Amino acid sequence: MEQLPNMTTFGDVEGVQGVEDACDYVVIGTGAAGATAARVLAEAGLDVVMLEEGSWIPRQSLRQDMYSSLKSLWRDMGFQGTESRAVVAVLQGCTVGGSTAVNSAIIHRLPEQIHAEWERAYGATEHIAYADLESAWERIEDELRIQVTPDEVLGRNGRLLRDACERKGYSVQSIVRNVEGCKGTSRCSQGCPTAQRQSMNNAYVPRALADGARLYTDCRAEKVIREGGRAVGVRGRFRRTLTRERGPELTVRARRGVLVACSAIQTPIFLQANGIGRQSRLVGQRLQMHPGVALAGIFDEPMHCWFGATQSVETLHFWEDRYKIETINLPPELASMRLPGVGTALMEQFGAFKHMAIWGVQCRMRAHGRVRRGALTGRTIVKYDMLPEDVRLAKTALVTMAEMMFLEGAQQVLPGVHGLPGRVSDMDTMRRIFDIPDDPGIFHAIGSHLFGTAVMGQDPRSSVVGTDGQCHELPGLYVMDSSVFPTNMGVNPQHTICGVSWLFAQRLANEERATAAA
Amino acid sequence: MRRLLAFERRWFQAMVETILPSGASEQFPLGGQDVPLQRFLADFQRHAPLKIVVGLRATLLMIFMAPLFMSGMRRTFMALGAERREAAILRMRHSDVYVIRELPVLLKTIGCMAVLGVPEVQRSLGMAQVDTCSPDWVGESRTEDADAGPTRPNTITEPVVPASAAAGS
Ligand SMILES: Cc1cc2nc3c(=O)[nH]c(=O)nc-3n(C[C@H](O)[C@H](O)[C@H](O)COP(=O)(O)OP(=O)(O)OC[C@H]3O[C@@H](n4cnc5c(N)ncnc54)[C@H](O)[C@@H]3O)c2cc1C
Ligand code: SF4
Repeated sequence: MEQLPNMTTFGDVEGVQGVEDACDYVVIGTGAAGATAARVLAEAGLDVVMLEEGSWIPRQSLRQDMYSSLKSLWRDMGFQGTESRAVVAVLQGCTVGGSTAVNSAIIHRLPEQIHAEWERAYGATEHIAYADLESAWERIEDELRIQVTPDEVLGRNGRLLRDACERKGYSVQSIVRNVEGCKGTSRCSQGCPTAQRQSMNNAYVPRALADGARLYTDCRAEKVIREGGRAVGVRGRFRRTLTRERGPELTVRARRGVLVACSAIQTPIFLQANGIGRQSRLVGQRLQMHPGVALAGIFDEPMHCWFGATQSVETLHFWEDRYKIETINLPPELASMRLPGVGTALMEQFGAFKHMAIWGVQCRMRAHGRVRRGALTGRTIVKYDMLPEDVRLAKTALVTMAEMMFLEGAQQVLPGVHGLPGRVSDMDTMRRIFDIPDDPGIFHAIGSHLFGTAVMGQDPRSSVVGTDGQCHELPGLYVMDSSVFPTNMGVNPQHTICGVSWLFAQRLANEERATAAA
Repeated sequence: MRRLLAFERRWFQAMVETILPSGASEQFPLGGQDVPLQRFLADFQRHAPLKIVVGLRATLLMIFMAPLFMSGMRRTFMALGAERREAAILRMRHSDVYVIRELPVLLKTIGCMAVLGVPEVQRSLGMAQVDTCSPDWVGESRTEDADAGPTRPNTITEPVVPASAAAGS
């Protein structure tokens, strides 16, 4: 099996008493934020250790069935969800590469309007000037081999959305992705079996390791080590995520700093577990998302949704209206959840599976949720209730998609909305969605873009970290991920997360150089 | 907490077979009876987060009891015939109470993972290319280190492009 150099897994430490290491920077988490920071620091010649709770899954081990993928690549086997009036599935990866190892590789730069809002309302952009972000993005785009999805792998679903948008006069584009030569296997959520996707497990983690960094997998960081009022290291525990089998403790001493990049859900949990946030009381608060809902359509002609880039075409036409429509090819286990009914009626619809096309919408909702660590159990509790206006936004987006699907010849659409028929054949029926109460429980939403749970800013009373990512309450501890973003942003976040992490890490590397020169 | 009891395992089988029945459709005859559901369940109860396993057990109990409170049924789920089992689940699915209508969704999700993840079933859905070996839980060749992740090699590196899906227009 393919292995990475400088990597220590659970299997390597079985039976060992305890493991110790020392470095300049320890980075917790190997997703978009953590891997990017490690790549920048390691290239600058700093001694870097990465800790990752999930396992390293070589690509030969990736499987097509969703259940196997959920077990090996996803946090809580894909069952993480909000505990609120209606469950929003909170989807995240838990493996080397984090969520980038299961994502669709869609690349967008942070819209300038959002950047301006972060400055205006939060004074948060001191160390992430837009011009600097642009320079970082240029490097990242080059290194992650960013490309427009080629026509050959748009798939029938992608061409359908493109045609519908062109007919309606909406702007539309083939999606820009960090994939070189996508083969169109529609298996991004099961890991990319061809390793064409330049997710962090394929790109920045190996690159950092090649530059001398070390990686500990199957190891969850638990405690920050403090000395003289500074963060000087971290303690973690090896543990197989699937069987929960415990291994030895890991202690990493970090001479320069501890970088937390566990995601906007796990970072506040880590901070709370370490008693951080008492000052601002903001750790875990202000969780924002882009909750997504989907619409399926049944067409006369086959759609073959198992072929094409998992997500290939999008329209930003409705960005100002706070939503964004994308195609999505789901594996049958997940696509079948779109089919209404049970029993015989359900089974009869499977015959039409190959005629089904699915589009999804990401909504820039206004609701704020929170993330909390259970006092007794230590488990992660996520609360998030859509506001009535958020529900109306999702309804509007569903109606827009239905209209386009009918325009392209859908026999029926499957809205998956409680209160509407399972199969809808005309727009009049679809518009009845507006007569249904604005209750988040009428549809199944997912949240995979997560922000704001350890927000950055200048004032320690209204922010958790400074504008350089450093924790107000504990010098030497930095937050690198989208927890620090003041708001959601209306586009897919990976590229912004990488850009911000790049600039924060570059600043640390520059400081280092300046100190060495002095 | 984790291990389902024998009667719960029987309920699971009966409920998933009701949601995804075999032989119900001519076009797509495969269903719950065609895959080793009990092996899947054993794997699931071992690996899923505890709160989901507990949620599954609560779901099974509530679906078992629910028909007792439905007009025209007044029996437990297991005491109903196939048609009325389906009707009972459908009634729950259409309930105006959020928690009740979500119970069958959890079972449908888990059932679909089991039934639709098997390559033979995927092939009969019309998928052009599927893994050549079944998932580990099917149990033909569990490897020593199965818990470290799936270990048998995948087969897909180049997809089969259906003529109608290839680039055009
Ligand atoms: C299914 C899906 C599809 C998506 N599609 C897109 C897309 O197409 N484009 C896009 O821009 N975005 C997409 N996203 C979102 C994007 O992937 C995430 O926003 C991004 O990866 C978040 O980066 P992160 O570094 O903050 O967290 P993650 O990438 O989630 O990484 C965090 C890592 O930290 C690890 N970790 C957590 N706690 C600990 C701990 N205590 N100790 C050690 N390790 C820990 C986790 O296991 C994980 O590996 C998608 C997300 C999902 C789930
Ligand atoms: S569609 Fe397939 S080949 Fe393309 S990036 Fe996703 S998994 Fe890889």
